[in-house]
Amino acid sequence: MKRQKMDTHLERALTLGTWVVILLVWVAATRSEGLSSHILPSPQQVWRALVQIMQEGYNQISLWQHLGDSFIRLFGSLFLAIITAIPLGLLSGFFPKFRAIIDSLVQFYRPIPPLAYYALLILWMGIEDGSKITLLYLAAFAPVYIACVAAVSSINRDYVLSAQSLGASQKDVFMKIILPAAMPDIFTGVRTASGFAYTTLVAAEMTAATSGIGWMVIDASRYLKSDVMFVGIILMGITGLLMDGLFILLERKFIFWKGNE
Amino acid sequence: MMDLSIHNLSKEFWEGKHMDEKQQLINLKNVSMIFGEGSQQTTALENIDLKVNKGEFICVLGPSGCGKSTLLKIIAGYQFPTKGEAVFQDRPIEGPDWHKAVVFQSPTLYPWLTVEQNITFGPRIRGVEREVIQEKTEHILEQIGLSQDAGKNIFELSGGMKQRVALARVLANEPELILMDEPLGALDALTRLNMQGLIRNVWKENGNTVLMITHDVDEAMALGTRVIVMSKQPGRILQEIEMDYTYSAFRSDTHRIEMDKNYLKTKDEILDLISLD
Repeated sequence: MKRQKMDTHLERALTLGTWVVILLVWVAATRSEGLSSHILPSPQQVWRALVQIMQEGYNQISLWQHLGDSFIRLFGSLFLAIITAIPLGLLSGFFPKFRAIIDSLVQFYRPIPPLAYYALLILWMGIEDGSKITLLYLAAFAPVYIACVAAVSSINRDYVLSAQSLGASQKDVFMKIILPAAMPDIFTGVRTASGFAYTTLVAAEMTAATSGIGWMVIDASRYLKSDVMFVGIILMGITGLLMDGLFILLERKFIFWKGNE
Repeated sequence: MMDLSIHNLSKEFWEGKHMDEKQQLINLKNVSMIFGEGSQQTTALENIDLKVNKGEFICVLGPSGCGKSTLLKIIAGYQFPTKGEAVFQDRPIEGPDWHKAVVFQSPTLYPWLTVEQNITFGPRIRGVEREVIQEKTEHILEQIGLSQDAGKNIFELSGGMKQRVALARVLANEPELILMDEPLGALDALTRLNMQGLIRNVWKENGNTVLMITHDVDEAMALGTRVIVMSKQPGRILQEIEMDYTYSAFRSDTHRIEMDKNYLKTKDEILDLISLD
């Protein structure tokens, strides 16, 4: 036990150390002569840019507005994907006939990079949020759907049989056995989907938008504002981490039995 | 094959208490079960005739692969015989329902529910009144000795406790028949002995009908009012032996059965039968 504890301490120190080293290399690189701050801004510059953006916003739009716009697109589409992909995925896993209809469609569009059909979506729905939310929805739908189909097929058959022997109808089995038993896999699917949707979001905002954190970075690049680009990229990394952390937290709370079976 | 005429349970015990003791619950008529086709074909069960009456405790004994589990699945309604007829309460078995409860080898408790929620699962989905469920559950929790653990999560329980909850979950539904598929197979010897005592007491107090599958001769003899010995593939009934050792546990202070001279003789006979093929 003691040894294990020492190991985790060491691992933490290593993680922290890695970041300290990166920061030091960054500082050292920017101190040296001959490297333009347009190519690599110093940490201090990036910090100042962050403070300025937080106070004054970027392009007359506050930082919170940028982040908020991005998150509305992200969570709106995730929400739509969750409420549609879970029932469709579970039904597909449960009824082979239902799967015959849905599955090939999902399997066909799933490997296509979302940006490939983004152009079409813009053509149909314009440059506003509609096309972005649809794009992210499609990106998030497939992982959740596939996780649900797989979840149903991996459910312990005896759960279903024992429920039937306790008097459960087909509907009871679906709502009270299949759904909760699939929850751990569904959660993993949603987590994957959120990551996928997030990367797609940033890419979409970089292609066509007038606000959002992805747009901020691409706009800054046009004016060689490297410090702003750094701020944007670092913020994307941190929000991505926070989002994943939130999912882990929710998972621990709602799927408390996972890993304890 | 032996004559399967209906017989009385230990008279001194049931007298007056169960007037309907002769009521037939299960009737398997010439049941066979064949899996696969062509050269892959295996006969799991062959010409099984079996009648189970209300109040009996049947132990089905046999080597692994003798089709014991298939027999249980047919009665539970999970599988249908390829030949013959399976009848439950005078009606052909068409699928699983709550009158035929099943305790699985590994307890299939739902990890997202607490102990109490697992136990009340059956009555709740059947729409039994809440007060009735509560009263019943308290009694059952007491019966299985888990009153203190009602709010616990399933993963906090030991193997023996899980199997007790699995039994309780089935009892809460008050089924006509309880089917058990080697429920104690995964437990250590001491826990196993305790569980045998518990199952025996529950059977006595509630007047259930039980059909239990086991590969342990001592367990079958300690619990069964009738032991059914089956052969290896194809699964056939070799012999049916009536017993009354289980009643001796109620008389003894240790709550264990009394083994007389005949006990070892019968045990030897059964072992000979099983190792015959």
